[in-house]
Formats: sequence, C-alpha cells, structure tokens
Amino acid sequence: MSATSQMLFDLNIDSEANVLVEGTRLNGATNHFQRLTEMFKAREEKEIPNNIFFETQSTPTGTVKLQGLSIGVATKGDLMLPTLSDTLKFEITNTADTFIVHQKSAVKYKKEILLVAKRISSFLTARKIPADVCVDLFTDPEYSDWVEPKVEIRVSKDQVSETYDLFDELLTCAFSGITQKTLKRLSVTIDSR
Amino acid sequence: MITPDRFLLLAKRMVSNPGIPEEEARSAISRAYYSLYHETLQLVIKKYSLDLIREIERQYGRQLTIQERAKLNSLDPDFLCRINFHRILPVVMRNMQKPIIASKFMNFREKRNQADYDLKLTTAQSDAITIVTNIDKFVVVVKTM
Repeated sequence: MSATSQMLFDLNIDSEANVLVEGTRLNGATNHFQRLTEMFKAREEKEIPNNIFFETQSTPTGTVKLQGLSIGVATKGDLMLPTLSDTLKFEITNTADTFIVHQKSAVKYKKEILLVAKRISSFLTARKIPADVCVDLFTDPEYSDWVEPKVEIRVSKDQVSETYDLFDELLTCAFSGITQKTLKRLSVTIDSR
Repeated sequence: MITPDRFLLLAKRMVSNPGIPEEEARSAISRAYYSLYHETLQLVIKKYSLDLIREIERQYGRQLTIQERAKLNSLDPDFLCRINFHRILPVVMRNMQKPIIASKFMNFREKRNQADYDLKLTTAQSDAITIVTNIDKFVVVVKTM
C-alpha cells in the first residue's frame, strides 16, 4: 500500500439499509465517497438493490471496513459490494488453515484468500443465493502433490445452474485487486449441498 | 484422429437421454472435462507454446531438449503422459493473468475427479446437465483465449 495514497474509509449499512460512507483520505479529497453518501441518502428504497457495487474510482489504495470489520484492501477500480456484515458467512477448515500458514508470505496470502471468501459470500447474499462458503483444500486423486487452497461454494441443488450463470461475474468481483501471487494458488469451486 | 469436440458431443448426447443412470451421468461429466482438457491443451500448444514450455521447464527444473519440444508440438502421447498437463494448464493461464479461466478450469477438473472417484457422492442427471452445459459454454471461451 502506498503511503502517500492511503485512505481509510468505512462502508456502513444500518438496519434500514441506509449506506453511510465515511472517509478520511491522507492525500486529497473524498469527493467520490461524498457523492456516494449523498446518492444513497437520497434513495427512498429501503432495500438494497442486488446489483449495486461501489467502484473505488478515486481511491488509489485503501483499507476497506464493513461495519468496523476490516475486510481487506481496495485498489483503484476495485469493486466492493455493500452488504450487511452479519450476513457475511464463511468458514475455513483446519487443514486449509494449517496449509496456508505454512506457505510463503502466509499472512498476506491468508488475508487475501479470506477476502475472496468474504466477497463471494457477500456477492451471493446480495443475489439472494443462500450458500455455504468454505475455504478448503483442492486435492487431486491422481497427483498426490497437487494441493492448493480453494474457496468452495455450496448452494442448493436447484440454484447450482443459476450460480454457474453468475460464475464469471462472481469471480471478477472476488478476484478484483487480489495479487497475482495469491491468484496463482487459489481456485473457486461450485458444488451442490 | 479423433477431435476433442467428439467427447463433448458424446457427453451432450448422453445427458440428453431422459432418465439416464448415475454411471452415465458421471461418464458424461468425465467426457466433457476431457473434451475441455484436450481443447485447452491444443490451443495452448498452438498459441502459447512459449508460456507452456516455460512452465514445464519450471516444474521440471531443467530446459526441454529440442526433441522434447518437437514431441510436445506434435502431441506425442508418450511425452504428454509424462507431464501433468491437468495441473500445468491452469498454471499457464494464471501466468497469463487469466485467473478466472484458470479457476473455472480447476472447478471442472474437480467435477471430473468427483465423477470418477467419489462414489459416495450422488450425481443426478440434472447435475451432469449443468456441468456439461457449462463446459460446453466454457470451451467456446477457451477457444477465443
């Protein structure tokens, strides 16, 4: 993260789905977020539309928090999906956790994998697709040394096809701003419950 | 010589029959994956052979000989069997900064592994239809890569 372009902002969504954006940028103004705040305050709808994303056009790099919970780093052009933080649900298996923490640059690697999982959970929640999102390991029965983390999405049988239809969009959102180093060792899979 | 699309045609034909047994549903998923695999391998050898060779050499820990490169380009089956292209292909795509394509490829690899190895998993015809249909769409994307 560049020291001269850091920005800390909170995306908060209250129980009535009003979006409150607060930002303090160290180098420059936060006009973009001010506009977003005004735009959302002006809305009469009480329900968040399914297809709303924040595009961080004016933010070179920033730390993103949802309701006070740090969910990672946003870069310019990154897409953030506003969602109630209590709907963000995902798990990480012990084997995946152990595997990840033994990799190079484990702290950043794990942080980015968890961010991908959170974004996926957030994306599917907004699309009203209930899903179990779990960080697990991909293993291949034919190649014993082929092991890497995966984010497993489990949806009901009747929503598998719908989830596949959204797969590109979901991955675009989930992988946005994630480093190439992490993406070289991470995949996302869709399964039925 | 058989072409990869024939595997996919077979898979589509299998899932289009009403009430197919589970073993056929599983076979259809497997055939569809192998169609994707061979289409991708042929495309990468044809258009991105340098990226492919670089990754093979990285995993081998040595440079490929001229003879080995010739075997790769001619799809020599003995040579192809010595290399885990199932794993190398998504790595090459990731190196080419195509993580979405790589991830989808990995997803379908896992579906094939489940179809052929996970006997406890129930694979319904509808599951096979979804996967075969999506592999069919994905092959089109891969071909334009």
